Amino acid sequence: MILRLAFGSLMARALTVGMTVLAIALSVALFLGVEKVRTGAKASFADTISGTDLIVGARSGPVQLLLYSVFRIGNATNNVTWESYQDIANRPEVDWIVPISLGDSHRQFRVMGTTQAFFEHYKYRGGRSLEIGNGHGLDDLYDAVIGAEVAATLDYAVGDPIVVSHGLASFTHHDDQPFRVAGIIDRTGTPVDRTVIVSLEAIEAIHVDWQSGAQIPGQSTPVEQIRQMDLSPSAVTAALVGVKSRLQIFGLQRWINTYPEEPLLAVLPGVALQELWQIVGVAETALIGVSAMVVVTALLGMMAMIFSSLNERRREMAIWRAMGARPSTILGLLVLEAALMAALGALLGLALLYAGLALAQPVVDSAFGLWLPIAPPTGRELATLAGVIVAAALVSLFPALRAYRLSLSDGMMVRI
Amino acid sequence: MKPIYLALAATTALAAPALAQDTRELDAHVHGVSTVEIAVEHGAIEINILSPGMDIVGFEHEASSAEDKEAVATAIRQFLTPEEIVTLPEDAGCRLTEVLAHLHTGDHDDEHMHEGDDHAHDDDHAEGEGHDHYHEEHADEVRHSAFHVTYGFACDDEDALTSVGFPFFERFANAEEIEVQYVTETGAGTAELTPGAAEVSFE
Repeated sequence: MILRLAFGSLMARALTVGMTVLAIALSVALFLGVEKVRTGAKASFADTISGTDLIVGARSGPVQLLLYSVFRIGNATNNVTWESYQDIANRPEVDWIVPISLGDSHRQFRVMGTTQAFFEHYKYRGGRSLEIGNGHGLDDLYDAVIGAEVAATLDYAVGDPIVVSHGLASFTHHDDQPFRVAGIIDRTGTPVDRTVIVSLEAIEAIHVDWQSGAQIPGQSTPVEQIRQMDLSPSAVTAALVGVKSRLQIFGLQRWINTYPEEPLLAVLPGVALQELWQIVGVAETALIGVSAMVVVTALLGMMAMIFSSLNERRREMAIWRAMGARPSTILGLLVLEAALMAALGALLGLALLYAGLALAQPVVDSAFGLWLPIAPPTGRELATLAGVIVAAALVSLFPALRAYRLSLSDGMMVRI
Repeated sequence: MKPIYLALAATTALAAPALAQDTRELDAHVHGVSTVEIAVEHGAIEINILSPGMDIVGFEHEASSAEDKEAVATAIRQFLTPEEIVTLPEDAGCRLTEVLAHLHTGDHDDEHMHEGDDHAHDDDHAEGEGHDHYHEEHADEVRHSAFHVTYGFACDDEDALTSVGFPFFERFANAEEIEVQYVTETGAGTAELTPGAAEVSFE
């Protein structure tokens, strides 16, 4: 009965109530959206590397090394000499080791030199392997395997030629030694999608006629001659290491970190990621704080709306009193109205969120490589929604109490 | 006086070419912060603790007086009683398989620290006589001592091994923080423990 009354009363003021509900809906959508992006980004980062026990590079910081070697973001770390790489590879604890060499680019995409072992040992999203859906792996010196996004953006198919540029966004090209697209990796949602993978020897090969970062003028060694050369690298950027037993990880890490011949750094990817989140966490908290304030503002707006409606509804209340409604009924009615508005707002907000996610998902994925999953609301999100409704009911207590007192004193003698 | 200075200068000069080959580097050393590494595999758990001497015994100079030596010996004894330092979930049914505790004193040979203490194992830091001068000159700026402790446990139920508590803080009032790094089946992670929150749970 009272529910129908409350609903009818809201419908009678559809415009103002509608605006209030919309404000609550937008604020709720914003709050949940921030939460979705936050957890999505976190999961996306955490899913990028799994199964690797240690990342080894030149001594820098754990976060820098992780970002550069795995995500290709941020400042480049120094290179590691091939001798040190071999020393680590020969340690008894090491089960497998995959070198990574960065520095060249193809259009806007990074070129990464590595070995066939990369395809075996690089794992993402809880142990999934890379799948070359189209073509094959690195068989020839001038084979390149490209990520799904490279193929999509530049419209490449297996067999197409690729010219690698020296450095990033550079005008000097290694056009004397073109590569051939040998395979295209299925979409992974990791930085591999935006990478051109070639063999470590190929990186050496394209720099054969180069000295101190520039091509020696007029000198161009024929490809046939290069194929005969010893192309073992002199340095790599980083290495991914798998250890035989988990109990040996810290021992090997300490050995690498105190390696006397060269300042090296070994980090556990999970630990470095968590360190990164500790840094990002401050900004995250600020974002959540701001969006929570928006929800609070919307609720305060609702409170102001109810307050201002009290005056115009004094006669209505008086009639209810005359019909036998107790003052507490009027209090209950107002609180119920507020809770109904908040519930409508929360539902509409949820709808807005999912509509927004459906629209933004492909855009965010291609622009930032961030996969925002569209999943049913989590328990935490439902709790947030319930919290908004309860908060609305609490906030409406102030105008409701005022109506309660007014209806006691006014009686039927309303002077408007 | 003069001859001594000369002699010193001579040894330093002689030592210099050899030292140029040496890498000089120091570890981070923060008083109040201990580092702990925990690795879990197939029911075995290994815990490594590295604590600044300041946190444990309140000094980092050489334990020369009888009191100092007593303090070090007491600390080592405490470390050799693992249940006073770490607690594992009871359901996991863990048994101690290995325990090691010793005191590292920077680049000094710290053999004398362990005299009379059977449990502590000696650091293999014996160095040539010729280096002594070099060390003495730099000793004051370089010397920090740290306790190094290793525990190994074998557990019946690895799945129950979800957390490690550190009554460590109750034993050593100077300890303010432990930085934990752990590796388990589900991955690696890190945690910051304080006397108020002295338990790490693996996620």
